[in-house]
Amino acid sequence: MLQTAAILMLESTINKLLQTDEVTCQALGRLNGCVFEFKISDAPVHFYLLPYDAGIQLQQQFEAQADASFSGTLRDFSQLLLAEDKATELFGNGVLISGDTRQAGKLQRIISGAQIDWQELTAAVTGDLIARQLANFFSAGNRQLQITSHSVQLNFSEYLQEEIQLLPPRAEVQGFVADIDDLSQDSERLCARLDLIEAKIAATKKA
Amino acid sequence: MSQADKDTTDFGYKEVPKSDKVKHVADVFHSVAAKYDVMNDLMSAGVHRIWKKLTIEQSGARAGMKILDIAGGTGDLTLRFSRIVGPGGRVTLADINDSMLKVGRDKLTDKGAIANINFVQANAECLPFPDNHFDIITIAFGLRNVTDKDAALRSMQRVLKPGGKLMVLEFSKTDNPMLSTVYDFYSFNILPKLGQLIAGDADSYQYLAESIRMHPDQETLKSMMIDADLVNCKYQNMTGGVVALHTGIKP
Repeated sequence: MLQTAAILMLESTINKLLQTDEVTCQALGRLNGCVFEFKISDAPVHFYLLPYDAGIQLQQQFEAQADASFSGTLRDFSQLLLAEDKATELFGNGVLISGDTRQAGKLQRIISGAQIDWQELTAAVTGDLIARQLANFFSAGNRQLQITSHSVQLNFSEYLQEEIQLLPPRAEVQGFVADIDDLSQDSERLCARLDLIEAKIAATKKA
Repeated sequence: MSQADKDTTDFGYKEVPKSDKVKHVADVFHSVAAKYDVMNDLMSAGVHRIWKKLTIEQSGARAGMKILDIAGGTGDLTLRFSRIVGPGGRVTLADINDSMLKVGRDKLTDKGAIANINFVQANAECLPFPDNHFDIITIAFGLRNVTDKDAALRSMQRVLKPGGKLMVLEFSKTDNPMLSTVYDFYSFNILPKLGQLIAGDADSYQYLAESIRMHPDQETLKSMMIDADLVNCKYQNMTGGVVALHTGIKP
């Protein structure tokens, strides 16, 4: 019963968020009648998603075969939720899709195109003025956070590479790795050539 | 003497002529229809949604099926079933009470769920549908209000397809003495007051508490389903037996 309650709460939350995005709701309506299965391999989470024109319905059990199935680890799915380019995360980084990939692709495009209007949701609680100020605050904060984190990353690499010279610069490491690759390939070629010469000598001796 | 042989039947703790029970029950639901959903949420602290969700999960419903939701009231089950059966399926919401049916129809229309739903005013004892018609029939919190429960079960069995499933979700008997004490206190002392406060009608909620006590217990209802020619009859208690989900298959 607890799992059912959790599923109901999740479904209700997602549907409330989707109510602010009419375009996504309309797109979900075009998938009405389809069933998508979600399996998270490293957590006891397994549910079915049924889209309809005003949101989604979640179920723990579904007797028939789902149209498409998405499976992956919790990390894969959380990366998908947080990623800016959801298409890359969905298809390139661990989430496995099986079944009707055309329908799965449609759902993927709907997820990646979803634009939740957080400001409108906040406005329902706080009023328009405060919601606008909060949105500006978080938007500016987010931009500043991105700039700061990028700057910290650059400064930290520079300190490790240039100041205390604990790590080599990226280009030097790449050159070194490329040299190793070349050496490895040369060794393999030499080895193959020696094998060929040995085979020829053995054949000459036999003759 | 079986239920069918008597001239009177229970209406809560009262005995009333069989012909009068329908009117008494109708009065109760005419009175509470407008506040039915709010009261359900308040009375059960929202747990009725979990009971209904579990019923749907265990129904085995899938796209293209025909489903009958008897005593469907405000359409909680119908709404979810309509999304599962999709455009190729059909859900019929039947209720004997026109006030409940109107509230249900308005609510589902507001939610945009109309394309694959029929609304029918019908008595569960004599369902106006052809034989072997539905894949699944549900009756949630409705059977205890039916005058002749045996006739209703037979009628449901008739309109069910062979292999189809009947699901009866209904208040039942708890087997935990402590839970029973708390539940009785809540039902007879708090529930009518809550009904008075929210719906302006204490009597209807007094009837609700009494009708639950008069409803057959888990084993009795199971045997009634077997008598109605259903097979694989079983039940699952929820919330310590406060509610039980009975299922049976038409052979």
